[in-house]
Amino acid sequence: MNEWNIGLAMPEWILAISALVALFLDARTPYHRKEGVGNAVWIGVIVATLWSIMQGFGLDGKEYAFRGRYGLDAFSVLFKVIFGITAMFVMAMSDTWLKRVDRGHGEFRLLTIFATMGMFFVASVEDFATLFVALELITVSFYCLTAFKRNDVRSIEAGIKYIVLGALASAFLLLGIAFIYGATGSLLLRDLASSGAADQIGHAGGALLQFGVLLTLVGLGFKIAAVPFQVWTPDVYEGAASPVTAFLSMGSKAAGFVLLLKVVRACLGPMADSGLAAASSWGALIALLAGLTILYGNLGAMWQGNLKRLLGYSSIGHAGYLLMGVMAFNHAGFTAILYYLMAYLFTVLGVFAVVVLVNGLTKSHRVDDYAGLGRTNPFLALVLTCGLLSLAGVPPLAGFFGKFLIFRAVIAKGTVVAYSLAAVGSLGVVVSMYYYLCVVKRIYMHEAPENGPMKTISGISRPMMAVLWICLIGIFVLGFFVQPFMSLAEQAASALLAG
Amino acid sequence: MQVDLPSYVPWIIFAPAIAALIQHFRGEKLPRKGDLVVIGGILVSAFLSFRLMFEWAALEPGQYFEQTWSWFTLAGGHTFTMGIVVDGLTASLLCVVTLVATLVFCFSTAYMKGDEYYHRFFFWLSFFAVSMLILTLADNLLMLFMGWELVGLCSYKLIGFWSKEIPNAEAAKKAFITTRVGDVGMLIGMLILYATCDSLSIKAIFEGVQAGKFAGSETALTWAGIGIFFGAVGKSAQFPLQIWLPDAMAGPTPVSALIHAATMVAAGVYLTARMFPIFTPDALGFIAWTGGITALLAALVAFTQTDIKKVLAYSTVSQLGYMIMGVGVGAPWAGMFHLTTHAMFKACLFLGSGSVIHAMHHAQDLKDMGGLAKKMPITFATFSIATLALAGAPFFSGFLSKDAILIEAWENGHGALFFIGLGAAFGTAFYMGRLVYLCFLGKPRNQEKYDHAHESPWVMTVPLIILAALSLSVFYDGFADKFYRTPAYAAEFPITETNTHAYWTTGQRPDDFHEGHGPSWFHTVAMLMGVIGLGVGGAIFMSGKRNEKTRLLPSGLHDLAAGKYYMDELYLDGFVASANRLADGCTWVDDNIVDGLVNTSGKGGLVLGVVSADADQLVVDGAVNLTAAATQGAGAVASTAQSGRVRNYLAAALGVTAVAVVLLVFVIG
Repeated sequence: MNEWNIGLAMPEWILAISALVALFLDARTPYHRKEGVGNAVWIGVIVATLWSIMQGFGLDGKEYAFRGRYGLDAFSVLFKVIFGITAMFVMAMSDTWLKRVDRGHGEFRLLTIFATMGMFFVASVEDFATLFVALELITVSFYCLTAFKRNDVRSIEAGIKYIVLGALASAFLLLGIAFIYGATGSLLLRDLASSGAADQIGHAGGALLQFGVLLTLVGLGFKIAAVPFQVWTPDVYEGAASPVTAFLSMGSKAAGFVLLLKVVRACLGPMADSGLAAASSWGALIALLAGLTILYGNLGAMWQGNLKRLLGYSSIGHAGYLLMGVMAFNHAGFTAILYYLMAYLFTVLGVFAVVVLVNGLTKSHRVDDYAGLGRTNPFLALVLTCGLLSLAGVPPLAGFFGKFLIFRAVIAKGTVVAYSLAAVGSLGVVVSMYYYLCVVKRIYMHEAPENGPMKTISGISRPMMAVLWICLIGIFVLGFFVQPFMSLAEQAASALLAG
Repeated sequence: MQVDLPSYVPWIIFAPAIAALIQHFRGEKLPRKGDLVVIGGILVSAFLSFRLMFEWAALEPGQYFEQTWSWFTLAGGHTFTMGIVVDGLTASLLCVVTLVATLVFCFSTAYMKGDEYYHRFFFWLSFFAVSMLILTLADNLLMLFMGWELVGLCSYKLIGFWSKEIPNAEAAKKAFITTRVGDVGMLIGMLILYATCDSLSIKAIFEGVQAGKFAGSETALTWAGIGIFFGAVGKSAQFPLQIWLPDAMAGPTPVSALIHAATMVAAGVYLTARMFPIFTPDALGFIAWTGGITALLAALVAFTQTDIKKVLAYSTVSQLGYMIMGVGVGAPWAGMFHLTTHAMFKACLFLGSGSVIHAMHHAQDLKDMGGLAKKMPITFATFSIATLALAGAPFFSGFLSKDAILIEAWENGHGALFFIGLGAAFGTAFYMGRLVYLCFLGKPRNQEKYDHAHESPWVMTVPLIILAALSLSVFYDGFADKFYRTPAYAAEFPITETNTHAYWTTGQRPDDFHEGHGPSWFHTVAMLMGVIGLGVGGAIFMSGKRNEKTRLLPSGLHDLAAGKYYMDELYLDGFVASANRLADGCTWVDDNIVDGLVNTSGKGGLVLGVVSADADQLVVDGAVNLTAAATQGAGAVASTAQSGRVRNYLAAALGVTAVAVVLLVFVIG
């Protein structure tokens, strides 16, 4: 455990090297010929993802690097693969989107790979210092990506909002970490788990520790967009370029949940294990936040006329469902979260792939401007519809199983809090049905206006076509061939619980 | 006892599924736009269904086919299965679904002729058949729920098929969301059952309930039952979720016949009958009263409708209420029996109305009709036979099944429901008499339309004749006893006619139920109800003084019924409006608090952005300009900072911290 063992972090090294190569190429090539940068980034992400998969096959228990500050287990490998796939999908979308932008191609790709690297690190975080640095690597990249459209006031506004509120979150996080360090004298997550944080409840240090954990959760709450820290989400989702929004809604959110799970497991796990009353208070607190988040996200989405804004609110709602899994706080709950995120990957990225393509044609994100998509682009309409229905949790699509497992885990708790949370969750499901169907209705049941911009989209690039197909197939496969993905999620959840 | 499933059974689902796939990808290019492929698929399915039914009928009573496959396993050995069970309920519903579907598909080839999206229509029909068959054959709630949602989706697409008219699209959405409200109840019921019995397989749930897993928490079982039943309330359009079905008539008429009369809406009855053993007496009372109220209320609304399809739609709601009431009073077999006979004669009525609408060039208001019997003799004859069956006249199928429900209600001590049912039966006969007279008899009220009316082609009339023939009682002799008395698992987990509390706590069959024939006067009265109702309903129009606008109910009641009891308004003003207000609140928080906070900074940022965009070029020009620009940008930021922005941020930061501290106190305290 006390060895450097730096070879273990090979995927991150690969990403770092390809980022440096890309940086060098970017500096050496003129403005409109950035293919080399793109290739370097693509190769980096693909190789790093494949390497992670290989590591997953050869994995035996948990391995450490950097003197125990970096760990690799089934949980980290699963998330590295998820982040790798997300990055690839987002890059395919960016390639399509960047054709509409006349400069900054190199920077955009570089920022993408930096953020990806941060996510890979997040999956392997073992102490609070690494956690903070990895999270900032993601977040700072996203500040720039969000404000990337420098001539667009919405984009700038989104960037500024994200920076200001993100900085606030970072401050909370850092303060929380400081309190935790002060209370336990260690930054290592596993020290926290083993040094008997639970024993300290009731002592002076216990209050400090709890305060620290609370502030840390506040900081992470911003990242996953949970109520009451959700306020930045709709504006940032709307203002940022669509591939960035896609990356935010999958990559950044999943990274937030990885950290949340790790912190919750390390800080609250011991309390729950020793059956302290405080554990149930924490459970109730998380349940309260989950319920509010579900209600806020789904109600807010109801009357949105802008599809990206709608997806922003819906993403708040999904964070609420994922928090329900955190509230369950057991193997079943964690498995459900992981399965939900896998399903969410294909679902939400499929939706955004269509959004990127349609926006290229209509220059609009208004839901009304999706009228006639079903007639003009049946395939895109199919992907979008399946994606939205999966988000709404209609069986037998992927999203249904995610929700089913989450509800199952919560109801199995059998407490009043759990039942109430499940009731609130089901209310959210009905409401969400409404606004997703409004979009589906536009797609199929409204005619495109005469002389409107909606017509058949041609020249969809091959990677983009691959993304659309993979997402469509993924939505069905995760809804039907549940077993292999379930095993992956279960292994990862076991690894997380093993610490 | 369980018998292995014949190997061809999955093909009942696969055949239309393959047809649907072909239709989806190649339909437009095939000859006749692919309708023959879809009809071929459903024919194979129908053939296999009937073969299966006869094979099942040859088994000993109490035997059933079942096979399960492992689907996926969760940690701790919770295995979810996929499986098919075939007992009398399944076999009869299979035959109903495939038979009506075949006839409706044939009918549609003429009805939908020349439609721009003819091939899509057949794709969705085929896909509906697949979903409905999955629902029917499922031996566990998870698979059933999947079929359940898929039929909802097909119904959504088909109601909104002619979506150029906005109301159709709205009706489609309303149907989907209203049923979805019920589905949430169903999901909660499923999860309660799962949490207690550790399985979603129907057999395992019965086992668990009988093994006393709910002992000591009967309330939970009641709620699970009501939750499951809530799915049926949505799907089968029971009070208070009945509002979507009449609007669903916006879809093409064959769709109304297949989905919104014969099969999908009956799925709720099937579900309640299938899950019957888990319903506690409290839950059953709830079910019975829901059904009874629906039957009566919907029948009254049918008095006030002037659209031929709307009359039939309310009639469907009312009959579904009857079936549900049958299950609720402790006779799932009677409910299922009425489901089967109703599917035949109601499909016949809807297709008959389709034939009329086709002949009238898509006019469906009664004001344009009258006297059509001369022009459309076959339609008139078949429509009349089906009407007699619906009204419960002797020698027609409806007589048997409706009687069965009413007798059971009486025998099981539901006297009030018995009289409600009797009243609804009279109402049914009355409004059907009105409908037949206004549509087919008397003088034509729109001479121009009348002159152009014509009998429909044979692909439309032959299905009518077949369905009318199946509305005769001769086909149903001993049918209910054979098919519905011994459903699957009946031997292992006996289904009693009245589930009493004792049954659940001790597993003892109660002795106090008996095979009943009702009061001695019953058959005479029931017969008279049907015949007199029909006669009076028709005869009052004979003088020619009354027409479709005549108010037949007392004034206040008429307004109430014609306004559909103002439930749409209640939902809109009550639930939807308050949801709106909440949603507005959420948006307000974002728009005012956050935007007010950051808008100013956004403007400052824009300046910065423009400046830095220029900076790229300015680098070339020289560092001095750049510095100047940067200073300018910084000045812009600083000046906006003066305008109170920082104060806002501080307020936000402090606010959140305060929340955090309050929460902390809450946590530690």
